[in-house]
Amino acid sequence: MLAKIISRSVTGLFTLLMVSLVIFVSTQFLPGDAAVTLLGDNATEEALSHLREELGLNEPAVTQYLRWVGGIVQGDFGVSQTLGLPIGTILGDRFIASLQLTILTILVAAIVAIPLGVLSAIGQGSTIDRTVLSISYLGISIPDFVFGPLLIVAFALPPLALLPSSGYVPLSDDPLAWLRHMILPVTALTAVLTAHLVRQTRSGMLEVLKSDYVRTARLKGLPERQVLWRHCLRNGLATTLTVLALDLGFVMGSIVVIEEVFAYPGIGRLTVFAIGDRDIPLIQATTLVIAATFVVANILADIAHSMLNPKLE
Amino acid sequence: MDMEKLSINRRTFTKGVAATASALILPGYMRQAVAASNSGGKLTVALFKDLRTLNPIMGIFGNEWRCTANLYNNLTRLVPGGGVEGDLAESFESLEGAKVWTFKLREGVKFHEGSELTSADVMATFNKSFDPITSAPYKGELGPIASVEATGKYGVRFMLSSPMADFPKAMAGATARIISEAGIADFDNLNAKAYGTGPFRLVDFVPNERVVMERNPHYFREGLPHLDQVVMRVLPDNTAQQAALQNQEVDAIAEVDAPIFAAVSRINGVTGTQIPGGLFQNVVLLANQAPFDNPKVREAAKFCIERAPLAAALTENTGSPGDDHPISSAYEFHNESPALRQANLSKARRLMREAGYSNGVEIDLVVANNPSSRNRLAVLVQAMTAQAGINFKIEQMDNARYGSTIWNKGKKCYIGNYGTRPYADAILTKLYHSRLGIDEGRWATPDSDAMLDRARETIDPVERRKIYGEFQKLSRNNGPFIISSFQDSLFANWNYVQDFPMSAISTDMRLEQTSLGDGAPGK
Repeated sequence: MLAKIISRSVTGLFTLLMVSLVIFVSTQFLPGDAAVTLLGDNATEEALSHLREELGLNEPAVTQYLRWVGGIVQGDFGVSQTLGLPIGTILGDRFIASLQLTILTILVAAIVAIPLGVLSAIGQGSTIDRTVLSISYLGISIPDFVFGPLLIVAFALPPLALLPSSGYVPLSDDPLAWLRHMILPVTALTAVLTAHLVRQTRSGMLEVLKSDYVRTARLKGLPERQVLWRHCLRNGLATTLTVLALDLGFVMGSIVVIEEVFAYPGIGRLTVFAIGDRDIPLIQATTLVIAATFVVANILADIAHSMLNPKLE
Repeated sequence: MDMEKLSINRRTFTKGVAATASALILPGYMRQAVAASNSGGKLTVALFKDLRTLNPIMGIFGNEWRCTANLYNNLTRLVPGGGVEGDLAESFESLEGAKVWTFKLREGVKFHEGSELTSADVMATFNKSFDPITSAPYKGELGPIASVEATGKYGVRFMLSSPMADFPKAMAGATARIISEAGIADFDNLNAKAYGTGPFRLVDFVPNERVVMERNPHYFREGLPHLDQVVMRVLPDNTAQQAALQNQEVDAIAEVDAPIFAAVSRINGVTGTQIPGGLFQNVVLLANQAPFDNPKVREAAKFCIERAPLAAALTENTGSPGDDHPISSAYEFHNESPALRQANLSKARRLMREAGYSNGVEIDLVVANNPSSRNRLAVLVQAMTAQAGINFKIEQMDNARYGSTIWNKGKKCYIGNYGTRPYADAILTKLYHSRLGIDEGRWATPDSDAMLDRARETIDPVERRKIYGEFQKLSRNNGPFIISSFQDSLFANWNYVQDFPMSAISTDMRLEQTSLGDGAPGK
C-alpha cells in the first residue's frame, strides 16, 4: 500500500507540474498588457515601463516560469497585481472557506445520493426507481445559476425568511451562524451533484447485482440483506468513490458560480475577480490550487478504492 | 410605458426629495439633537462590485471612493446644491485670477495613527499623486497643479499652470483625500491600511468582500460620527442584494442597480430614492477616421436615435434622455436649450447621401462586458442606426482587454462609461480637451480647447454658464459622441436609517451624519 501511495503521489506531482506549465503558457497568451490594466489608461510610459520591470514582465518567459514555480515550492505565490497584497494571505482564508463548502457538499451528496442510488437499483423499474430517476433528471437539468437564486427567493425572502441570503461566518466565530450560512449554497451545489451521483451509484449497483459472484452468493442461499451489504455495496461503493472524486472537480467548477450568487468569500469568487481584472499571478495561483485539490482528491480516491477492493493492488 | 412602475418611482422620488430637503432645512442643532438620541449601533451597507483597494490615490472604482470618504477627509467637501465648503481647510482663497489658491488648515486635527495634520501631510499627498512613477489614474482631475508649497505649519499654497475657478471643487474629489506623511511613507501598504483623519477608523478589509470601520473617537467634528461601526459588504448579485436588504442583513444599498430599483422600493419599510444623476455611456464616433471624420455622418447617426424610449429601456425608467453632450441636469451649468433632438430618419438618410454613403457603411463597435447596460445600448443603437445605413458590427470583450487595447486608443469605435463628476469642467475637459484631457473622440480643435480654457478660467458664474452653454451646443451638434441617456443615482435604505447620504455624486458617501433610529436591528 505504501508503494502505491508513493507512486500515486509522484504521479500527482508530475501532473501538477504539467498543469502549472499549461496555466503559465495560457496566461502568457492572454491579450492586453498587465501593466496597463494595473495602472489604468492614464499611465505614463515611464510608469508603465517601471512597473513592467518591477513585475518581471520584461524577462524571458522561461525565467518567469522558473521563478514562479520556485516561489510556489517555497510557499510564495507572489503578489496580486491588482490588490497589491501577498497572494498567500488572500488565498488562505478563501481556500479554507471553499474547502468547507466543497467537503460539506460532497458529504451531503453522498449521504443523500448513495442510499437513493442503491434503493433505485434494487427496485429497478419500480415506482421508487422511476421517481428517483425523474427527480435526478430535474436536478441535472436546472443550472446552478438558476437554482441558487431560486433558493434565495424561496428560503431567504419573506414569507419564510428562514436563512441568510448571502455571506459567510467562520465556524470558530459562531458554529450555528456558520451552519445557517452554509445551508443554501450547499443545497444549490448538492442538487446537481446528487442527481449525477444517484445515477452513477444506480448504474454501479446494477452492474454488481448482475455479476456472477452475486448470483453465486444468492444460489448459496445467503439472505438478501447479507448479499447486498457484504457483496454488492462494498464493490458498488468503490465505483461511487471514484465518481465522487471526479465530481470534486465539478464542485470546484460550480463554486465559481455559486460563490458569486451567495456572495460567499471563497476561491471561486476570487478566481472570477482575478480573471475579470486580468490579475495574472492571482489567476495562476487560484487555478493551480483548484487543480491541486482535484489531483489530491483523486489520489485519495485511488487509495480508498484500493482499500475497498484489494484485488486492484 | 409601465405606469405602475412610473407611479412608484415618482412616489419614491418625492419621498426621497422630501427627506433630503428636510435634512437640509432642519436647523443644525435640531439634527444634532435628533441624532444624539439615536447615536451608536452598526450600519451595514451593500455595495455592488469592485472594491480592490483603499488607497485613495490609486482607487478607480466608486465603491473604493465610498469607503475612503469615511476613512479620510479632503481639503474641501461638496455641499448640496453644487457648492463647496472647507473640510480639513478652515478657509481658502484664490489669487492671481484663480491661478494661485491658498488653504488654511484646521488646527488640532489628528490622523488615526495619532500625528497632527500639518501642511507637510498635504504636500506629501499631492507630491505623491503627481510623481510620474505613482501614475495616479485620476491625477488629471485634480486640476492643473504646477506645484504645492507650505506657507507655515497650517498653510498650503497651490500654484496652477492655468487658472481654474473650480479648483476648490477639484480638491473635494475622491482622489484628493489627505493622507498623512506616515501613510505616504508606507504607500505600498495603503491598499489595505488607512492613514486618514476620517470619522471612521479601519478595522478590517477583505478586498472585494467587506470593509469594517469603527467610530473615530478623536474626530475633529465634535459629536460625530453617530454610528459605532460601519460595515460595507460587496454583494455582486442583484437577487442577493435585494434579499439581503429585505432580510435586514444590510440596512442600505449604496448604488441600486436599475433592474431591481422598483422591487426594493416596494419593500415595506424601505425607501427607494432616485436623484437625477449624470452617469452615462457614450458611443464614441472617432472623428479622425472614416466615416465619422465627416460631420454629416456623425449627425446622421445622432438623428437615428429615439432618445426617450432608448433612455427608458436602458435605465429601466430610472434615468433621462441625453442629447449627445455629457452635461445632464445634475450639473450646475446644464443648458436646457436647444430642445432634445428628435429622431429624423429621412434627414439621417439625406445626410448619409450627402456624405457619399448612399449604400451605407459598416463600422466595428467594441463593447466591454461590464456594466451589462453597455451591451444593451450597443444592440439598441445598432438597430436604430441601421435604418440609415450605418451598420455597426458589435464586438464584445472583457473589460481588462477592452481597457488595455481599445479604450481611448483612437483606433476603433466603442462604448465608454462615465460617472457623475462634481462639476462640469471635470467631465468636459477630460473628454474633449486635447492637452488637459484625453480628447476621447479625437475631435478637439484649437477653438474648442480655447472655449474650455476660457470657461475654466472664468470666475463670474453668469459668464461661465454662457460659455458652457455654447460648448454643450457645439458638442451636441458636431461632437464625437452619441450620449442618449443619463442614469439617475439610486439608493435604498430602511426607514430607521437616518440621514443616509444621497446626492447626484453617489460615490460621495460620507456617513458621519448618519444614525440609526428606532427599530434598527444593528443597535
